[in-house]
Amino acid sequence: MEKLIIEAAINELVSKQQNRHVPYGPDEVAATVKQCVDAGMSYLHFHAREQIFGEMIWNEPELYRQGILKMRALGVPAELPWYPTYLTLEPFYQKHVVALVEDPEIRLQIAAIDMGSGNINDYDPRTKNFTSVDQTKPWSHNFHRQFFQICRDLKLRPYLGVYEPGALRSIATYLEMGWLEPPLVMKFFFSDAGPYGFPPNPRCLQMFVRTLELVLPGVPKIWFTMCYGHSIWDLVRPTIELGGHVRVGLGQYHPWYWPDPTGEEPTNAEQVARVADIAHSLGRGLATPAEARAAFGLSAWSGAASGAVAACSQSVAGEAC
Amino acid sequence: MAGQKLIIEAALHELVPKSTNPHIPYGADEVAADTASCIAAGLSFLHFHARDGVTGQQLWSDPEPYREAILAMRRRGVSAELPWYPAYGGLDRESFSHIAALAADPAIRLAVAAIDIGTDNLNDFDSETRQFIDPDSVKTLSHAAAKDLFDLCRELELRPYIGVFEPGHLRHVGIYLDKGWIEPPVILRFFFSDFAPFGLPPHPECVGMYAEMIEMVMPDVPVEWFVACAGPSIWDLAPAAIAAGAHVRVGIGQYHPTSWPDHRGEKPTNAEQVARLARLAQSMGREPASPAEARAILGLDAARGERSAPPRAIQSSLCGVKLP
Repeated sequence: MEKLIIEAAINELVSKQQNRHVPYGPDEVAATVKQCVDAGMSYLHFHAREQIFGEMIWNEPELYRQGILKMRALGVPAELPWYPTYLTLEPFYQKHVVALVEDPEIRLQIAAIDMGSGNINDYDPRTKNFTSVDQTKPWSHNFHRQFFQICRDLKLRPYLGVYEPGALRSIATYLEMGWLEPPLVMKFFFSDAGPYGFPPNPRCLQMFVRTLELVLPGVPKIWFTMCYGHSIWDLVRPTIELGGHVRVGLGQYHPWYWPDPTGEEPTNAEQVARVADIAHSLGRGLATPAEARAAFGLSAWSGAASGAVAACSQSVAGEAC
Repeated sequence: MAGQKLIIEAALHELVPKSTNPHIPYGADEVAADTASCIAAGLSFLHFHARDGVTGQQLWSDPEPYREAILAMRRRGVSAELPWYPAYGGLDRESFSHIAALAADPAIRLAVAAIDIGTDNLNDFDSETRQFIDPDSVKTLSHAAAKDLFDLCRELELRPYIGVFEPGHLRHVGIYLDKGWIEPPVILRFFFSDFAPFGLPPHPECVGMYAEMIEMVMPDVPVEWFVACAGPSIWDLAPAAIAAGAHVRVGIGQYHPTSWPDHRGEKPTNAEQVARLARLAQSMGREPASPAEARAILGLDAARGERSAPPRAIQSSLCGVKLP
């Protein structure tokens, strides 16, 4: 079985009030990523956030750039595949992505898209209230086509987030239409907090995988399991056994809109290490960042200017790169 | 569930034109005759669209063609207990105005309203031209909008017939129960499609997946569920549905593509589809339910109760719809 890629979503929208280990600014991001890579992480997702208050910086490349250069200065391999966030898929909100792709020191190569339309509202069982009960996520097929065209223009590999099995059928259709090309890199979303998709349990993971076989037979693909909430730990072992890859991280572990009743405050690196331990117990090796890159079909990292990295390393102690 | 009677639903025509299948019924008389034939074959739950008798044009929000058809089918001996539900042109109160009128009409007493929940891309995909139909459109129904329709159903004493396109919609239903927006028994219809790439693929295993998920999401909740499929794969799914204790919807309204010509050349009647399903069920040890039995299984009398006049809340909600 191919080596396990461990992804970590290190911050997302979670606040330090929820877990003090959530990294905000570039220095904290870099330090967290270094710990995670040392623990076995080979794929990264982070949000650019302001250092003091953790405010989301949706459209600016600079904090991403600083985070990436600072983590390299700490010894994180430049090969590490990663992807940023964005407020929506409209081209206007992709300007930081364009900048990060074109930046010769950064050379972003992955863009995530959460496929399909749906009601992606969280539901607090204690108050019995939905968040944003009027809100829907209405992303048409043409909207996806537009995003895939951006990915093609920028030579970005789409990371396809799948909430519902219908999105797998859409992906198959997009392949048929030539909107996408293999290899496919997919992420199966589960959620404790939001009542959408398959329920977050091992049997439903099997259903997801079976549906994948029915809908996309013979297509080169790799897939990840992620879960908003603590049920990720019910899904990690079967994912590893079924040949999938795993995303963990504090950004998806705690509720975004209400306090985590468990009071748990793990670190990102502890979560990565826990997955690595499970993988080892099951006899599955861990991918390196370079191996993860190859699995995604990305070109080998041809190297940022070493001078820039060296210059950045001198500024890790606080100055912006 | 083995041995429980099977409710056979038929969707008589939906958007299919006679040019695709000449057996598609237009107008009240054809609908009545077709329904009588289906009843004789084992039908116990009916869905039809009000359509112009000549052109087949959809008459989305006019209660009168529905009323005419229901009364015409009764004159042909169709039981007044036959549960049925109309179509609508949108998922909002205004688009349900004819439903309110039909619920309030003492001669009709509509008892079921279909509500297709959730937000999804339900576009057909023509594999010949490799084009989506209307690729900018998205079917949307927020949780708040769903609540409004459930509230309307409660006001009108209608049992919601909840359409599920994705597993996540089943989880929506679990929350709607938790919030008290709907009450058991829950009636669900799981949509599959050969023509549009949404939901679980139309494969028999996927019927079993839905059956398992009902138990996960709504344990101990009384649920009756139907399997429907746009396209001929309904015949692959029907045995799995019958074996799982579900009910089945057939009908030429869902059998043919509606966005492009059907090149298969098959032109069955609705009654032939009902009869085929009835034979299949009997071979698997399930007898078709009668209309009265279907009504009881779906809990319609409990939902509606006996009444001689529409409640005040219903009258006030008609908003200008003329009572027949």
